[in-house]
Amino acid sequence: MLKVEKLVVKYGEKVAVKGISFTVNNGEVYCLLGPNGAGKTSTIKAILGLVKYEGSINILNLGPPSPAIMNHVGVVMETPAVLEALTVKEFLEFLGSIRGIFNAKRVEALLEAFELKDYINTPIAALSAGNRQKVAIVAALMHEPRLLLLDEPFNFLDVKSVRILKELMQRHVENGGSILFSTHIMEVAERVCSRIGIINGGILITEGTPGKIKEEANAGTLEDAFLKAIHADEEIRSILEGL
Amino acid sequence: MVSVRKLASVLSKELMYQGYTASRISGLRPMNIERAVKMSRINKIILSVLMGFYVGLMGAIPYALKRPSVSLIETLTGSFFIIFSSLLNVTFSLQQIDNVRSLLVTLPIEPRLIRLISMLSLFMMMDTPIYVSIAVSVLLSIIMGGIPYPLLGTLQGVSLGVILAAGFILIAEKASGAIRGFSRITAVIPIMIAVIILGYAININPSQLNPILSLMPVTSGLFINGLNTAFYLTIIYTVAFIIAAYLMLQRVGNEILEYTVQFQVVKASGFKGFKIRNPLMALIRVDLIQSFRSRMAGIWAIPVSYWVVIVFTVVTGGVRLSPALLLTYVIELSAIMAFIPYTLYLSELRGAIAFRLLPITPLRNLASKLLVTLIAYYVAMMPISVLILVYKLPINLQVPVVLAFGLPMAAAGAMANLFELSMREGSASSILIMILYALVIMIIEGLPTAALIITHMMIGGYVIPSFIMFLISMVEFLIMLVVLTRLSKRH
Repeated sequence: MLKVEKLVVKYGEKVAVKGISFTVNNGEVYCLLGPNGAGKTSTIKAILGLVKYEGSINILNLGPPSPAIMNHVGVVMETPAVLEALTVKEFLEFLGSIRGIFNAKRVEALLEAFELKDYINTPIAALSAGNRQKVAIVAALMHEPRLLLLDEPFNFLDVKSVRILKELMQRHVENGGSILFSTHIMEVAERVCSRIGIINGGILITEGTPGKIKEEANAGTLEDAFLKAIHADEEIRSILEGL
Repeated sequence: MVSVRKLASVLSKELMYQGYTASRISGLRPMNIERAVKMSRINKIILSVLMGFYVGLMGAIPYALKRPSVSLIETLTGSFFIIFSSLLNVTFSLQQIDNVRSLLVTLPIEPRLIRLISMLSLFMMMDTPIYVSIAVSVLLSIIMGGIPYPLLGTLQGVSLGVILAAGFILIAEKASGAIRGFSRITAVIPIMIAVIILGYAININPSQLNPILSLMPVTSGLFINGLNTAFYLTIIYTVAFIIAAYLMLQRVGNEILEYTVQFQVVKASGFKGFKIRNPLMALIRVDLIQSFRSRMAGIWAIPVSYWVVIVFTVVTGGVRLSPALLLTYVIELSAIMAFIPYTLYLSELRGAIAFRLLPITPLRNLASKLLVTLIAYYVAMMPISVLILVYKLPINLQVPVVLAFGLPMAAAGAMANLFELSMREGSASSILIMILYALVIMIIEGLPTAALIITHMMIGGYVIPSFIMFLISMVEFLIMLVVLTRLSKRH
């Protein structure tokens, strides 16, 4: 479980996140939806302790972000958090050694699933963006964490890998794990997420199940509901008329 | 029509920002973007002041000592040192600037102009320091009159700095495996040579040098006595260096900014399962791999080259080994070893975000750096220990050899705090950290060293002064640990 209360993140004068609160329960995928610069990545970075924040964060009832908690968390960042000077093998060995958790069978199965076995001895710097993202995904899943923080995890992935990741996310929550997930892709959010929080300008505008959000906005699709929530539907119409 | 200068200027600002924050390689984002942008530009001003001061001071001293031609060597090595190390440092942070590469490709600009823009933008990152040093050298030449030694020296030093740094960058980018690794390790040797010459050049008496040196680049300037062959040769060499620097800068600009397709090396075979290690050992292993595979690798060559110089001068009889001299070697080498933790921490910049997502506390991180520094320190000190035995010097001189480890230890603690602070800000300027670290080291190593010297002068011997030195450095280390523990509490 993840509990965030009155979270504020500032970059100098700019306030990126303005006091948002939400909870991600066990067995649920909570999706943060928002336009560019809405504060989604800043929220995830605060949960990981990568940026200074105000407010309260409680990860898995273990407390605020700290190195000790990281063994229970799997993370895919917007930009793959990998050590590029290392080969795929060296990097995964390093993670396993530091965490003290390494299930070789699971790691090999994940490498197989994401078609990385052929690149095992290749420096990560020499991999394509898609393969680098796959390495980051394997790194996030290999220690079977209880909480997954996924910031645009489908970036650069091919269709097959997207499907595999979606299935793995489903299995994770079925086994009682929880996921905080940020994306721009409405179709994915609608299909994968148990609950959605729409964030704009650093403020949580609304939250609920995809069905509830559509119903409240009186919209047929999540995309329409989202655009209404951030008051972009009228704006888009007038922009398109001007084009 | 594209304004080449305007575009290059914009691009150089982006490069300076990327070079300052190193965010492309660390994966982190500065907490205060406005301040990071401002600081990236202030960086250039700091470098300009440093360079103007260096050229002015080092160029003036030989005139005061009535050896004006030595001013050429002093200004040459001084300006070379700063340009060479800064250029290498800056380009280290510019790896993976795919955004700039991609941008250039999408603009409707001819490849010829892109090459020109690349070169200009790279030059603009260093232009103010270069202009300031030339202005100072011109002023000094006018004030001193006669042959413009400071100007000739500065022009040669700046050009040589660009040529050599560009050479190392090109090798690092182009060459394969072993050669690339060798170039990373040896890149620091020109800096070492420049520092040694900077210290010893003041003692050079041109009349005692081999006349053949009057025909050689760099040294020809020492033999100028009016309008003779050496003068014309020096002018020719200076012009040749400037042209070569221009061409090399152009090539490096292309190399860093030109969009190239990288092919993947696929090695399917050879996978023999995973090997899991003790966390500390794993951290040490990755620190070493990262430092040896980065442009910071050269730091490892410094202690080796230092003791090569010591052993060579002592064995060939160039220097008479005394206890006082040996103690100087110990202090100097332990100061040099303080750069090992610096290297290890800066190597960690590559993918710093990946480290932050792991259960690695700043204290455990420091422990791994300390262990590597400890091993490297005693390996580097071994020749000095052997010299004490071979030259039958007082055996208690081994005590400072063993205990001077306290100096790099305290310095490692300081570096851990600087790194942690820098990471909290989400940016890490290698140049700024270098300057700050140099200042911190001066204090942290200066205090115990001063205590050693003073107590040695007061009570004699080496054992008690060494223990006092060790005690002070341990107090410093403990202070650093307390600060680090406070910083470890992330929020």
